Amino acid sequence: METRIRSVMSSVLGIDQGMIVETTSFGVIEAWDSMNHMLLMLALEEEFGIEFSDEELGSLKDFKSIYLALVEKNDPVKPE
Amino acid sequence: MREILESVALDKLSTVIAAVRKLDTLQSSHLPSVSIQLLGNISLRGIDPFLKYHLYASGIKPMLTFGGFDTIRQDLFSLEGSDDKEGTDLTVLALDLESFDPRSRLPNWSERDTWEELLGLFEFAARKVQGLIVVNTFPLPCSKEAGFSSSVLTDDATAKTRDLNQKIITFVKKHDSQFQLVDWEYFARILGEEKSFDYRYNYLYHAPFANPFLNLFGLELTKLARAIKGRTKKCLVLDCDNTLWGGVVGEDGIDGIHLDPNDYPGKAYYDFQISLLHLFDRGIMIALCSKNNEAEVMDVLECHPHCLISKTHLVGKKINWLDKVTNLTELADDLNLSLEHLVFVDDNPFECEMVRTLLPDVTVLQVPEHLYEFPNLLYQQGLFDSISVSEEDRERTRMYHLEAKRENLYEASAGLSQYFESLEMVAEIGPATEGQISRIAQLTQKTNQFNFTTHRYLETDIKGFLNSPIHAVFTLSAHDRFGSLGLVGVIIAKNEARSIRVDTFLMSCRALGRGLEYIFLKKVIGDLQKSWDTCGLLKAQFVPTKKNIHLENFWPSLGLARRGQSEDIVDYSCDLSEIQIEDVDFIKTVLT
Repeated sequence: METRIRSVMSSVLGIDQGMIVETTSFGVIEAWDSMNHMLLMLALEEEFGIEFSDEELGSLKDFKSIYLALVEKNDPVKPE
Repeated sequence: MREILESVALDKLSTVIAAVRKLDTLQSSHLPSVSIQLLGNISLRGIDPFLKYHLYASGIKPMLTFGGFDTIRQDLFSLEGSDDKEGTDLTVLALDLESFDPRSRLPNWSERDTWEELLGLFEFAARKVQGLIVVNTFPLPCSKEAGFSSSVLTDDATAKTRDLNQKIITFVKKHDSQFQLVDWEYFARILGEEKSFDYRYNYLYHAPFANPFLNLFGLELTKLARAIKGRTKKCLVLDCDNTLWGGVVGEDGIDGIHLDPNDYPGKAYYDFQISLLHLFDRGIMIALCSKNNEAEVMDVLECHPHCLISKTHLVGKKINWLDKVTNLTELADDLNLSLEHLVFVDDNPFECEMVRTLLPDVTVLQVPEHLYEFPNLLYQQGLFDSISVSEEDRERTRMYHLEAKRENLYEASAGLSQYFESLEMVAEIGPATEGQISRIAQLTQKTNQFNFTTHRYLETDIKGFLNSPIHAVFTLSAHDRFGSLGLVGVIIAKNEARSIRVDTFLMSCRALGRGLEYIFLKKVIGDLQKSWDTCGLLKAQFVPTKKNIHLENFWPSLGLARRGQSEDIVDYSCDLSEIQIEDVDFIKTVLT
């Protein structure tokens, strides 16, 4: 799952997958502005077939919290 | 570029974004560019990847600028006095009704007041902007304030929005030299609420539209860009078998192909032909390019009861056995079009791939695997959309008709011999054998068109000739790389005091027009001169009938002179040494 998140983030934000670490976050990465944040959320929703709540859309602004939210949303029985 | 475009799945935003980023960095200065300015009262950035993708896919380099959020008037003001004199090609005013006029959400909303405001903005924009201005209709509300789905009884927001849309449409029609419409109401109607709107993003980011909606919006703007940049396709080139109709006419016959609107899959092909009629009506040229016998195709076009496309709809046709790349190139040449103006439709993946690879400028559409998707193929692509349809567009096919006819005359001399060469024809000529007797008799009995004397013989007559010392019977069988034509020619000759009399010379219709008759006659005369040791005259007759009258100049054209006429029989003769029959280089002769 981590790889898939990295791949989507790298596509949308135009950064190297290797540059993405746990603390990679909104504002720190120049490309991760509010415009691209919206696209990133949309792309992640499509990729994983899930929907973020309005609260999550506002709060998922670094790699770690995105990862944790997606783990929670995915069926924990099905390992990635 | 093609690989990047092909990596995109339009329902996966990340693939669109990744592809567009790569395309942006690609050297694409050879592409025509279009400058589009997007102004609106909603967040429009979500359209960026879709719009760019469709523009790149159409061979246009996008130059997009976005206005501030809900600052249309300021943005328009700032245009004034700027030295951007060539102006933007398209200025898009993307307006959300609720943001434009919050009163529209309230009871007792007056859509007339909203219209006054809108009209003011449109006119303001018209004064400030050089290029085309694109405005939109408003999607109808999804929730009904009155509870009932019907708005017949109450004058609800749906009815009012409809009225407002109608006013916008009327305005754009009236000012179509400067305004164009993007019909958001239509997008929402065909996509439905779920795929059109994303309420979360609307509340959080003022971005009300879901990706499928933005995709359609981007595609529609691309169609406009194509039209103003002359990238609109002009000519549709169609394969025949399993494209214009179902089945293979050469095998299934005119009665066996599928085109009946009361049948499936006949109706799918029939409906596809209806879409062709609509394109024809808009001035799009239609041409055929297929591997068939031309006569069989024309037979379908003229005689099939359900075939809607007829000869009069066509500006050109390449119905032969050459490869499609050659044919498409020639067709574009004939019509004075460049390859990028062509759209080619074929069912055969091999042909499609060959054209895509060798002629990348041609847009190739393959007949969908599911035939029920076929009738909409051309509409969805919108490749032929132009801003307006003129009378001249409608006349175009007629004008091309005249020109194409003229060119065909030239082509007949140069192109045909090439074609015949490619056929790799072989003629087998020799004395008739026992086994051929019945076929020979049959041919003398039923051949009318290419038959100089129409002497009808029975099998016993033929047998008699074979055993006669003063008669000779020759046959011609032919084959080319597509197969055998069988026994298609007969000459019966008589030795008359060291002269050769041609008693019968006939050819089956299907073997005509390829030069076989000349090579046949020449070989037979040469052979008889040796075996009979003749040195006198070649004598021939012509017995004119209604069906063979076109042969009257045949003997004179070979140098035979008219010797007399009695009871409708014309006699010809000439010295055997003076006969002139030209060689036919592209036919290989085998003596049997």
